[in-house]
Amino acid sequence: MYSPDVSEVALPHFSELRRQCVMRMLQSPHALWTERDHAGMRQIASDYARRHKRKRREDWEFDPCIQAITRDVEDAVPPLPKWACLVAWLAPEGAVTFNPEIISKIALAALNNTLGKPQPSFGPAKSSFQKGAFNMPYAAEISRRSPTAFLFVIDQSGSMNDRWMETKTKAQALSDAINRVLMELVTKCSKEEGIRHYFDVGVIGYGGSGCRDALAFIPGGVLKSIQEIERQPMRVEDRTVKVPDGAGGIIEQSVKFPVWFEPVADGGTPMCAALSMAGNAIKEWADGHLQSFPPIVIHITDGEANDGDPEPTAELIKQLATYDGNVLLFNLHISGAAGMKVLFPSNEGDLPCADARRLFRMSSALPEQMLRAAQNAGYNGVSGTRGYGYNADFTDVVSFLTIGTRPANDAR
Amino acid sequence: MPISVACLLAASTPKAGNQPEECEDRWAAAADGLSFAVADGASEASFAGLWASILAQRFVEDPARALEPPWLLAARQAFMQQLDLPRLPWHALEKLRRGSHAALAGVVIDPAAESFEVFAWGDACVAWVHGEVASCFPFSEVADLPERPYLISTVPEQNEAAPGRQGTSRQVPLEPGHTDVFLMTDAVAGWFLAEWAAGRQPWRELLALPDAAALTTWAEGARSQKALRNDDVAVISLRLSHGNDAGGG
Repeated sequence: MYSPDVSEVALPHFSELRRQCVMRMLQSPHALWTERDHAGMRQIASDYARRHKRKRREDWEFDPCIQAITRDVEDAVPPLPKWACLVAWLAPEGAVTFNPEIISKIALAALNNTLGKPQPSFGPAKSSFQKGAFNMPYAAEISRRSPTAFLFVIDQSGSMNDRWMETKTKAQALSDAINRVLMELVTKCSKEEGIRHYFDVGVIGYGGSGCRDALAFIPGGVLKSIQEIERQPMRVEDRTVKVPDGAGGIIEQSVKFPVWFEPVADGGTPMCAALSMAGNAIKEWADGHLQSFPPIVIHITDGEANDGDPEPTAELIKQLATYDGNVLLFNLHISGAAGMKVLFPSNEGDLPCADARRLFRMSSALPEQMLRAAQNAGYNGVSGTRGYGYNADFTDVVSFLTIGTRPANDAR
Repeated sequence: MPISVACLLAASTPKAGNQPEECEDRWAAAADGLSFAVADGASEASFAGLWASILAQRFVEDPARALEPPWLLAARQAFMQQLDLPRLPWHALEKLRRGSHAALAGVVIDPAAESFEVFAWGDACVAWVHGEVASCFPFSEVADLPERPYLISTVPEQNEAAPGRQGTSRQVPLEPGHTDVFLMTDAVAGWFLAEWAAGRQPWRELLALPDAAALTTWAEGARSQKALRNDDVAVISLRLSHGNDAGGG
């Protein structure tokens, strides 16, 4: 199981005042520190001072920990996630530090271990999040200075040899989908001078031979730069593409197309182990990219784990975070059973089986900007829509991430 | 009455973190000094800078027929002629298939009619200030700037679906005295409209910029204050003088 490093977590010793402030923070629905939180803290300090017959706000004004938080939270660019503020509150008096990397490490460990099961209030921001002095989460610009990451976790167990949609096996459908989505990612990074490093991308396969880096033929860790992926496909195929000539006609151009991934189907379904491997790779990446749009994990399976319940591991992955928000875990469910294609549902009850409902629960809610992009693409997304698909194509999920201006009359 | 045109600034600067050659906002000025344009290539596309450059240049060369179907056809053909298709990799061809997109704003001054015409397609804007009265076209409030603008595409079909959302123009009569005119791509237009709505006079800041280096320094400062979105920027500042102090037409 994925387990954060807890060696840096100091046992908290804090006053009643701080305890009340921490409880207030846990009850607030927003991921980031808001003006309303700030006002709430001041109210708690005033009430506390009144109860203890001290001058109004005396504790607030003179507690060095609170002073540091007031100053640094207000000045922080980007604003600190609430869990980072929380760690400052929990730190022993006089030991407050706002080194972002140290805070993030301690905060993640504190959330996952010291505090037990994290509260729902640390999830993605609600639509009521206040605009203004504080940034929206999931708003980090994706750029070469601040890339994001995609990690695909794919089922290669023996059951993937079953037929799917009558024309191919699940494994063949899956390898087509992975090749298509890798092509989409490369295309998004394509500029006239070549491929820009907007993404790091990895593929973990799990099946009879355990969990493995399915792109191991490309050197490096599980997450590799998109430039390396473009440069080193497993093989290339000759195809013809049609390009508009600008005058209403078409030019046919022969071109070499990449293939990174072949169908594999063998043995058991160690889904929990694969998600743990993904969690470790994502944690390492997120620790090194705290300013980035959070990584997106896309898990593709036929839903039948045989090494335990994957939900707790999925929860741990979703609680990893950068300053911009929690890691997003999306699940694509390939099922041989009859049923309508579903993409981005909002209600567990609409799904046809227990495996589907479990994968729905394991999936993150779509952040607001991705939800808007989904709505623009014609999906009936509502608040609470999850990144879950049943027999659906996930290429669209990738296209919902915007790099720079997206025209209304874009082809996608 | 005589009319004179002074171009005070015509410059572009890339978003923070990008190199100058990566700037996809372009500008152009006609040799006769009466036509000007800025164009903003959408960064999601490839060859967006080339497309923006072609649109701005062709606008100032042939403003009378700008934005009409034959003009667009010629611009698209000029774009394709600049590309060496057999040498492009698969992903570049895929991006071409999806189209390159750009916004365009232009100004054409007509001394005989004592007026100027403003053109806009997408989210690039033209603002003009006479005395203390400002106007902005086609958007007059920052909230009106679209998140996903309807742009000029290299793929004709992408502009055929919604003819009502294509380029628009407006004739503006010149009043006696000075009229300052600003052609702005969307990031600067957003800043301009927000400052104006807050009761400030953003045109004074633009008029104080003498050259591209000053624009770059100003943009860096405005971005650090979160007043200007981190995006490429192109600005043209003009002073149109109408009357006895114009110094000739």
